[in-house]
Amino acid sequence: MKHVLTALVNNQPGVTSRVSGLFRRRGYNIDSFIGSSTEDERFSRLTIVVRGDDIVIAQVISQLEKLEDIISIEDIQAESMISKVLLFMKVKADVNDRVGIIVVANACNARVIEMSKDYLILEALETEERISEMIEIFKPYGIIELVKTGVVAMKR
Amino acid sequence: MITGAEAIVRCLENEGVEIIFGYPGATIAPLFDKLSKSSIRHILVRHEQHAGHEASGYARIRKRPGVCMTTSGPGATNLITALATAYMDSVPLVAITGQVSSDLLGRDVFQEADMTGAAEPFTKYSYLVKDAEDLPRIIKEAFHIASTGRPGPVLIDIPVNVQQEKLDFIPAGPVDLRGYKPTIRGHAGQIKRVIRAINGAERPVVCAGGGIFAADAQEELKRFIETVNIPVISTMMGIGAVPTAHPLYMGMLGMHGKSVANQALSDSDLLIIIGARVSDRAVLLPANVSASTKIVHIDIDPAEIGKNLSTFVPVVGDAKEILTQIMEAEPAAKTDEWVGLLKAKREKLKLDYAPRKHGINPKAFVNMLSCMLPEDHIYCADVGQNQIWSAANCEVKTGRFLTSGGMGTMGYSIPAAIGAKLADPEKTVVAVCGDGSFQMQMMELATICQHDVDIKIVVMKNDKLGLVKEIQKKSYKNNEMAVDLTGSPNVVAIAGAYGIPGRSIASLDDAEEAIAEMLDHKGVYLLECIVDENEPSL
Ligand SMILES: Cc1ncc(C[n+]2csc(CCOP(=O)(O)OP(=O)(O)O)c2C)c(N)n1
Repeated sequence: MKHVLTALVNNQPGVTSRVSGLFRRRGYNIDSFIGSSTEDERFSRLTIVVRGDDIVIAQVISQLEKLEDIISIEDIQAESMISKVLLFMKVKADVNDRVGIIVVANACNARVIEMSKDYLILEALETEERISEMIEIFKPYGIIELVKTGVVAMKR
Repeated sequence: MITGAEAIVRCLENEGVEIIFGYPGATIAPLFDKLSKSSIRHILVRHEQHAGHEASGYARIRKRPGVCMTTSGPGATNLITALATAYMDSVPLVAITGQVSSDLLGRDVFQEADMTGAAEPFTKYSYLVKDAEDLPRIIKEAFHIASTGRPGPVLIDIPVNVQQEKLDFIPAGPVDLRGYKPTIRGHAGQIKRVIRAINGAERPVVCAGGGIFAADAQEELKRFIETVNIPVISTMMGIGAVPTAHPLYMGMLGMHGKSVANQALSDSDLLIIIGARVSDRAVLLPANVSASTKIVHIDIDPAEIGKNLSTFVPVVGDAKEILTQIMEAEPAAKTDEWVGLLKAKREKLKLDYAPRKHGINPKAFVNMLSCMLPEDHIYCADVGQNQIWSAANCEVKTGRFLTSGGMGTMGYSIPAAIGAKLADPEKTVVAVCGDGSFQMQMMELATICQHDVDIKIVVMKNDKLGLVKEIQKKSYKNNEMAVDLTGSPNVVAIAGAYGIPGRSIASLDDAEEAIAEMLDHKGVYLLECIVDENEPSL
């Protein structure tokens, strides 16, 4: 099952590799891993999305809790969190396709942030599911390049 | 359907593996079981660290990856020093370690060690195999990664259940690694800049490193320096890149190097570094190279260029290829005066080969030894004062000088010699070590006897950890602490206990005859040289 973990950690070199190392030891692939500073510069916030057995994940969490550099860590349940993914997508758009793409983009709640004669760059901030749907919708036009953040999540 | 273990053996055979250095255990048992039915020879070592070093000696001489194999947990962690040693000296290894069953990973079960994690800083790449179907691809990639670009050790950690799993064996297709495409040919524009730099230089010098051997570029280097008439110096790893007696060779540079080599470096107006990292040991730098010296750095690893020295012309690629490209452009420089000056200086170097009151002059001894050995001998030097005596006084002609240059790992010489001898049984192979380092590797005497490996071992006995004692003398007001080796065994008697003949000499007068006796003896032989504890490194 998919788990979204949120952790407050010391803002120090090596912390991310210790955290990700514990998942590697279990042979788990991390879906996404986001780290950024917080209002308190001593700490960083990590949001980790990982798929795995519930019991194993619970165990990894207790192993992580033991680490000195981890202040707190929690597995947040879907119903009690707000979460978003940021997407940039460069889509092929010649003269004929351009208007159509913009209309679809609007319908998807995506914004055009750059335009050239061959392509458009779209930006969207949505839930993970919506972002995945959006990518499918734009595939037929030709996606030149795509980048998205992992999930950032917060408990309600 | 075959098992994962059978698939591994088949893949290793397909890679042309002839020898595996290993030590068994529970989590690697399925693989050993199938290995017994293979034509691949297994050399049972007496400590896993030496499995890695033996694979390293083998790889350096055989010019293909050395393979070592251990069980999980302590067997795997025992291997780490050897991986680190190989990593620092860019030696291609494929290390296979057993691992606990994949469903138990991460639970700290019996003999579980996070090996891919632990070895991460010391491997070029590593795999934790989760599915037996992946074995053919992973093994093929591992050999490819270990031996191409800048060579290095690759780890394959294989859970015991993956070795037992059944699969349909499908040989791997061609290796396709998107993020890994080493550059071989030098950039044409950069080659032009190199030529311009050479043509305009008055005092050029080439600094050759271990990359010359990795690229098998000795011939190209020789042709280059002879045609342009450029003096050469080398790092420890580059010793023998040109024969040490070559008129243009000025010796090893660095803190333990030759004064003329260091002078060549500091007075040069163009320094051409080929396949060397130029670490702090090699060059007490940047102080030693003048600011006006132009630096050309040729290396297959773009990350090495500019790491320790700022570079005027970086050239990324294979040393052999690039030297050929340079020669095609017919470089020419007026260097007669500069070369004459250095040669005169080299002539004047005083070699201190006089007999000592107590014990043997080790510098004279290693020189005599290397001169009495066949021209193409392989000389394995350990670490400590003995390494410096060897590096500064050995004659290397068409053979090789093997040592742990980057890591300085005590206990490297005997296992490296075993690996080298098995890689090229025709060659005479000698290991020279101190009495401290001997005791870090003497268990391998059993490996030597069991597999009948004919190497010659020289132990320089000064009853001290000589190099550390010297440091304590120089920097710690002679406060000798933990360098006294009292309690050490009689090494000739130790050899005798293994059935290995040997003898001890304490005077240079006996050296020639003793060396001859050692070389005439068919089979392994140990010669102990008594050396005064106050004999300096230089
Ligand atoms: C594995 C390892 N441990 C420690 C050292 C530090 N060290 C460097 S040289 C040396 C002394 C070596 O003594 P010995 O083998 O007797 O050789 P000698 O210097 O006397 O020739 C030591 C302890 C090292 N290089 N490698």
